[in-house]
Formats: sequence, structure tokens, C-alpha cells
Amino acid sequence: MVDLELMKEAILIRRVEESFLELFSQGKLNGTVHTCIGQEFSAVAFAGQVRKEDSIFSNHRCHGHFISFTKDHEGLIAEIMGKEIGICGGVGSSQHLCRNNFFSNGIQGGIVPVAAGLALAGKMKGTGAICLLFIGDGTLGEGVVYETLNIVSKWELPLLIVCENNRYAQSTEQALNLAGSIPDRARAFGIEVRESSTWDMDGLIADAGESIRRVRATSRPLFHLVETYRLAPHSKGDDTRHPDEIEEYRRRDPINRFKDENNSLYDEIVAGIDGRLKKFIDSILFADELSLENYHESAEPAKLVSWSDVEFSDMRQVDLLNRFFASLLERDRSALLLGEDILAPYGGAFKVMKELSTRYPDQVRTTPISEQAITGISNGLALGGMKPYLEIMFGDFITLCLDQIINHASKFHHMYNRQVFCPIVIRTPMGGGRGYGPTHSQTLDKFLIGIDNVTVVALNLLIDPADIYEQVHAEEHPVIVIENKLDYGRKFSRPPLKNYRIEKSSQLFPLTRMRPLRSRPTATIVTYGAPVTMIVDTLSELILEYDILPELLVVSRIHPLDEETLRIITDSVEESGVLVVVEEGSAFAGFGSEVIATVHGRTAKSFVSRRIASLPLPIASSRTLESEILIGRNQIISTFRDLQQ
Amino acid sequence: MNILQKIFAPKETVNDETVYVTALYVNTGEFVTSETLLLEIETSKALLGIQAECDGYVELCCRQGDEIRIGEPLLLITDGVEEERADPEGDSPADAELPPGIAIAPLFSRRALELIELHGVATSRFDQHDFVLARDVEEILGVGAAKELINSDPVVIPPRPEPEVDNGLVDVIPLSRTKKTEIRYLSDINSSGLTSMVAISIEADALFRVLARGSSYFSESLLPLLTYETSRLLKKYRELNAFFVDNSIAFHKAVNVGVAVDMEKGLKVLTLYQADTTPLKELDRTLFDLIDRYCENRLEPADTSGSTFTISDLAAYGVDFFLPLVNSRQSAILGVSAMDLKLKRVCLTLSFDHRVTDGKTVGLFLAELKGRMESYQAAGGEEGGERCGVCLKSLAEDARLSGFGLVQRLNHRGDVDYICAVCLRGGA
Repeated sequence: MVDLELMKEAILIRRVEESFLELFSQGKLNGTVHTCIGQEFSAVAFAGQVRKEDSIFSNHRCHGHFISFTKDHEGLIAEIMGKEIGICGGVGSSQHLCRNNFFSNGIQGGIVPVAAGLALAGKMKGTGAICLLFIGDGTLGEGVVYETLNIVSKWELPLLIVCENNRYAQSTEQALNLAGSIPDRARAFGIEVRESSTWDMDGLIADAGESIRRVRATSRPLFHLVETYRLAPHSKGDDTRHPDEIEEYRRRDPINRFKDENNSLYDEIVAGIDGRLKKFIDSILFADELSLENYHESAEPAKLVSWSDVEFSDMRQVDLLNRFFASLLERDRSALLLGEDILAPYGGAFKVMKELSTRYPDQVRTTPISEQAITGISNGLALGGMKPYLEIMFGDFITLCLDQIINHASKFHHMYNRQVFCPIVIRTPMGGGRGYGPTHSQTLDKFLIGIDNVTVVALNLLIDPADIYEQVHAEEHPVIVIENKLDYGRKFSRPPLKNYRIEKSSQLFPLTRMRPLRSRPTATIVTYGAPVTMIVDTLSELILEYDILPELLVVSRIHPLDEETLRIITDSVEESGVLVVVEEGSAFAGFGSEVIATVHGRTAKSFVSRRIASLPLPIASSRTLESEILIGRNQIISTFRDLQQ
Repeated sequence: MNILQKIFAPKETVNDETVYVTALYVNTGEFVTSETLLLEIETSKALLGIQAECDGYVELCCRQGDEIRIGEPLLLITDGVEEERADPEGDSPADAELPPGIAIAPLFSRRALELIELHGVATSRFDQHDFVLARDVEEILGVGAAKELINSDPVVIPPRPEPEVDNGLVDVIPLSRTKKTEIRYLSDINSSGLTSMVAISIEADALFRVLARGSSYFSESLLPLLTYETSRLLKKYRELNAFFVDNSIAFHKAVNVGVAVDMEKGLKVLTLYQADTTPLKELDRTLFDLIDRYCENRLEPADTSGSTFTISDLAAYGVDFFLPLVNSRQSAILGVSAMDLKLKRVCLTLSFDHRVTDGKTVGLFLAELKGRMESYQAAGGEEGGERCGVCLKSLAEDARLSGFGLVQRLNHRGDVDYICAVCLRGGA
């Protein structure tokens, strides 16, 4: 006979979820809910037995886990009813819960590496905290699960993975989609597997307690498979299972059996719960929803910008980066460098991490080729209070990280109603010019500059990378830093062009400008990143041969474009009447289009604008084709020549 | 201490970004007199000696063997020796801190240098500049109205109404950028509605025969000769080498004749700079080179800019007569039609901006041009004695060929000349 208190908790979970279904049918609930009716004891057994300092990451079917861990079913009800007093202000609702160390997200496999990151953060801090992760059998279809199983096993992370096998992926029977065996999946990675079911409650509670104890004691991962069955539909109205099958499980259901055996006690418990639920729901029925002003932090008003001369150091950019990271690891123990091949002596494909693993072995982690998992782990580290710097070897591979960037890093802060921050930093070199061909040369920045809440900055050779990274380190939100393969080996030196002043702005992410000492410029060139070097080399020809005197504005934060940056660009364009934006990616829907459109919206003066960008083609390896596809001096000169005619 | 002369690394060829200092004949602090040979530099094309233009003390900004970027100073001549000299090696990023009022070495654009040279402007007038563009020189020249297109506030064009077309009946293809530029360029003068045109015919048959016998690259075109004569006349008829601006007439100081060509590579106006002082043979050669570069897409911007008068030749298409359109920043354009095979005449048309000149002036100009052009056939006769007035064959040549001799005739102008047996029979 199971502990009565645990039975009461399971009944509470069930009645809360049944009340959601009622509220939904009454139209009082915006959106959807996925109930765990029938699976409550998995929540009670695992989420109910971990410690407060442990963390939990759950999935779309998370109400039970939440209630068992936080005991805050009222906060959950308010959340699902979309109220400001809900645990996430009504932003997250059913699938996106956060309270204390409890998180859930509606992306299936994606939560797995994030949980691994939380486990790693706990391990690094040495608090003995573990992470409990709930997945379903349907999640086993996603590749990132296996990337992460490999890593948690190799890195010995205290992650308890509970796989609730309810035999259906939404409406599809498991047999149609799943090959092989579930336990063998985890065993293949050398992870201990334990199995229980929700029909043997006492066994389940004991097994769960033992699994938690083992993970904590060994600081190693454990995969706990829980056989269970969901009595309600996946969501609502999407149940195609045979009624006889459901009926069979209904009879085996522990709560129903308790009800049959202890009818009056059950009725008494339910009546008590229902009375309290009704009272609470009635009390918040007309409570306020979160207002936009309280959800969206409006952009900071523009500050006055001052300018100071850029101090060049004549050091190679890669050495400046290496020096910065060495000083960072020295002074901030929460800073952590991750990436493929970054250990000494190799030090990463472009040697930014050279020797750092020798000097700071605990803070430099080389990873398998698992971009999605390591991005997720970095997200988890960031949620867990660390400052991860993830190196993605080639910019082209950033596509593999996009789910973690867009559906996790970008959203955590807002969907959990600003309770958490995810200060992950992803560094990656973009750009061609080295003949690496289509999948190692492209500039994919345009896919990164529209993501909410994600700051994108780009290094260039007119600014000390440490100036940029100091601010990156201070950022509370995700940052992607676009570096450049060719620039790594180049020196941060003053260009030889005379009579130009090279200065940086006082903005957090400084804008660099090259402006004639005295004359009024006749054109404004706006750019960022790699093209800077090529443009600077073209300036003297533009002036001497073509009678054009440009002002060059080099933006370091390319998303979001802040008020000051836009004002600097607009002022320059109003003066020169010509705006040329140069970028290494292709023109359509890129940075240049955004800059031109935004400046148009900010000035009443008319001006001529052009985008200079590479051709919209996969970048060829052959020298001639590659140079024809990528932007170059000729394009800059011919663009200005056309403008003059 | 005042700077009397600044000597910069000059741009001698388009290819060079730097020059080498091959020899220094003076030292810092040395007193030199005007025309003293100061130093020698090497460009990709030649060795070049540089002389002082005034008396004064030398201040070197380079050392022997240095590679100096174009436009950077090589040497200064001052009126006194400075107490503390700037380190000649200094890359002087300190320039950036110079407050206005202190001389910095200005860098000149090529167009600015061309204008400076053309108009004899002293470079010292730009001592306070960091960069000198064409606009800066024009400002000093007072052609302030001749603004940079790129720099002026673009004209606000009201949104165009969508043309009402039935896409089932027509295919609408937007104009190319070149064509749109051309329209804007031609609209400048012609949209005033105040252009007019005068035509004249010239006797050209014998002219072509002169050309055929000459070593011209253009045996079948009057272009070099017309350019030669027109440009010399333009010095006299200044209104035709000018343009209307702000209720004033801006007279071009140079005569740069543009020749409009369109041979499958788009309509371009090729510029023959200072055509009025260029010998015929050289014009001939330069025009040939330009067309050659046009055909091979090797034209430089300077090849198609800066013309002050235009000649448009449609002779190759057999046209009798046409009305050319006056180009922006010009007041006239000369059109050359094909020779009328019966009358042996070529029609010259001159379109002009009536705000700048008038029909009478243009008439006088054309009459004078006609006289000059037709003089060539007479000139052909003068050298070497009697010639056939049609094919210009000399008596000596005739003796070698037919031996028939020349017959005296009264030609269609009422003059007495000669004709050979072949031409008398109606040509070979």
C-alpha cells in the first residue's frame, strides 16, 4: 500500500489537470494542455523525491512534474489561465514552466542537452546537485538525444533521465516509429539503465529514490525507463486509440484502483481538493493578464556618443583573442570555453584557444562533433549560472545549432517571464577567401540577425577584439560573435591611409569610424566584419582615382541596431547623400537591406543607396570562381562609378 | 617658418600607387635656388627629376630608396630652418590631432589634379585641406554650380503612376540602369525645350579620296578631320563650347571633344582631351585607341567623361539627316550623316541650346567649318601639280596607269579643274 500522502498528491495532479480540461471546454483557457492523466506516479516518484537544490527539466507533459517538485499547483493554474500572477506571468502556459530550478519546454529533444548543461553546472559548482530530466518515448526519434547521451556518459554528468514510455507519440503507436529497444539505446553509451512502471507504485517510488541516490553518489548519468500509459488524449481530440485498450489501462490505473478499494476516502479527498480548486479558480477568474509594457523592455533611449582614437597594437587578431580569453579565465571562474578540437596543442581550428587548456584545464572543454548538443549544454550552463563560450568551428555549422539558439536561448528569458537569463556566447568564424568551398566559406549572418533577444556582434580589424569581448562578457542575454577566418591572422594595425581619423564610439559595443580630418565626406560606407580590411584598402583609390571621399562606419553590434548606431549612420548619410552598405553575405534580406530601410525611415532627406554583397551562390572552391562570387574591390569601385554617372 | 613649396609624390601613371626615391641631390637645411634639381624618383614608367620652383631651405620628408605613396610629401621648401624637425621616419599618426589652421599634407584626387593642371591653379591654395577633390578645385575656379552629381541633393521624383498596360498585349521590360542614366543626362538640356538645329552640306566625295590615300586609321570616316577642324573653330565660337547654368553661361576653358559611338557595347561618348591643340595624326590615333578600348571593354572613367562638345556620327547607317540631342553641361552637338551617293554631299547638323547661342552664330560656325573641310580637296590638288578633281589622281600617276592624261572641265561649283579618263567615264 502506497503512502497516502503520495496518493493524495497524485490525485491532486489528476484533479488539477481535469480542471484544465473543464476550463478549456468552458473557453476559459487560451491555448492547449497536455495532461499526464494516468502517468501521475512517475511525477510523484521522481520529481517528488529530488532535493530543492536539484534541477528538473521537463517537456510538454509537465504539470505533474511541476506540482510534485514545487507543490505550487495554484501558481500553475493561474499560469495556464494566462494570469499575470501565474508562475510565468501567463507567457509560458502549459508547456513552458519555470519556478526555482524547475524548467519545461515544448521542444522535445532540445531539452536533453540543456538538462545536461544544468547537470554540468551543478557538478562544476560542487554542490552535489543533480539534474532530473523527463522525456517521453516519442522524443527518442530526435538525434540530439543521442549526441547528449554520448556526452553525459563521457563527461560523467549527474543527469537522471526518466523516459516515460506511454507507447504513443501523439497519436501514433510506438511500433510504427521505434526500432530496436529503448534500454539498449542508453546502454550503447555505457549508461546504466533501470526500469519500473507506474502500475507498481511502491516499486516505482523505491526505484526512483534509488536512481536519484545513485546519480548523486556516482555523479554519473542514469537512464530510468518508466512504463506507463496516458488515459487522456495527447492534447485534446487527437485520440485514435481503441477504447477497449484505454479501458483496460483505466482499470489498472493506480488511482482508479485506490478509488475502487477506498471509495469513501477517495471521495473525501477529491471533494476537499475540488473545493479548494474551485475556490481558487473563482478567485482568479477575472485577474489581470500581463501587459505588453510589463513584458517587453522598450529600447533604451539614445545616449550621447563621444569618440576616442582607436589605439592599434600591431598584434595579430588571433593573439589578441587568445590573450583576452586567458585573462578572462584567470579572473572569472564561471567562464568556460567549449568547442571541438580546442585542447592544446591543437587549440581549435584557428588557434584562438591555443594553450588555454594547459593553463586552465577545468575551464576548457573539448567536445565531440555534436553541435546541437554542445549548444544545448551551453544553454544549460548559462541557466545554471555559468558563462559558457562555445566555439563553433566553422560558421556554416551554426545551422546545426539553430534550434538551441532560436527555441531555447532566445526564448528562456521572456517565456519564463524574466525569471532567468541565458548568457550563452557562441563564437564562430564566417567567411570565404580560403578556398574551403561551399560548406566552409559561407556568411550566414542574415539567418542570425533576426532572432529575438539574441545579440549578434562581429569583430573587425579596426577594433581591439577585447573591447568587444569585455562587453560580450557583461551581457545577460545570448550573444553570437561573428569572427572571420582571414582576419585571425591579420594584424590590428593602423591602415596606412593618411588624413583620416580612426575613432571608436563610446557605445557599449563601439562603432568604429574612419572620417576625413577636415573635408566633408561625399559618401557613407556602412559595413561590419570581414569586408572592413578590403574597403580600407580601396579607400585611397576611391579618393585619388574616382574623386570620392567616403566616411566609413563599421558597426560591431549588427543586431539589434541600437538608437545611437542608427543616429550616427543617419547623420552621416544626411551629410553625404550617399549610403553604400557592404557585407560578405548575399544582398537579399540581409544587413544592408535592414540598414537602408531603417535609415530611410529616419530621415526626410533623399539619398542614394546601394548594397554591395556577394552573389547568391554556394561558394566555390576554385580560386577564380570564389573571388568572383565574393565581394571585392572591383565591386566597390564599379558601384561608385555607376553612382557617379 | 613658412612653407614655400611642397613637393608630393606625383601620380605619373594610373598604375602606380607609389614611387621610389632613386636619388636625393639635397639635404635637409640646405638652401636651394629655383630650378635646382632636388631629387629623382622612379615610377613604373620612367625616371623623373624634380626641381625647386622657388628659393628656400630644404626639408626632406623621404630618404633615398624610400617607396612613397602617391600624394604624400617628398620634400618641403621653407623660408627658414626649423628648430625641431619632424622625424622624417615618423608615420605621424599625430596628424589626427592637428587642429585646423595647421598645414597638413593634402591628398589630391586625379580629377582634382587634372583640373589644377588644366587651369593652372596653385596647389598651395589647398594647404589647409586634408583631401582635395574636383569639387574643391571647382569651388576655387568659381564653377560652383557645376556640382557633383553624387553630392547634390538628388531631385525628388514624384512617384510615377503605374503605366496602364495590358500584360496580355505587351511585354513590359524595365529600362536598364545605363539607359536611365542616359535619359537623365540628355534631359538636362533638351527638356528645356529651347534647343534648335541648323544643317549644312559639304562636298565630300574628294574628301574621302584624300582620306583613302592618307595613312588615317579612318579611311571611311570624316571623324578625325571633323574633330580636328571643329575643335579649332570652337576656340573662336566659345558659346558652342559652353553650357547654361543658373542664368549664366559657363564657358569651358578646355576643348575636349566627345565622339559618340554605339557599336554593340552601348552608347558611349569617348573623350578627346584638348582636341584643339592636338595634331591631326595624333587625334586619329587617339580616337582609334579609344574605340579599340571601347570594343574590348577596357575604357577608363576618364575616357568617357569631361567632354565639352560632342560629335555624333551616324554615317555608317546611311542616314541622310538627323537631329542629335545636346549633352548635359554642353551647348551643342554636331551630327554627321552619310554621304549622299548621287550628290556626293554629307549633311552636317548642329543641335544647340538656344539659351546659350543662336541660329546665326551656328550658321556662321557651320559655314566656316564647311569651308575648312572642303579646303582639303583643293589642298589635295595643290601639292604635286594637276590632279583629277574627283579621284585626286596626279598627272604622274595617270601617266603610269592609263597614260590618257587629264581633261580640263568646269565642275559643279563653277570652277575649272581636271578630271581623269576613268572618272570621266563614271568611275572605276
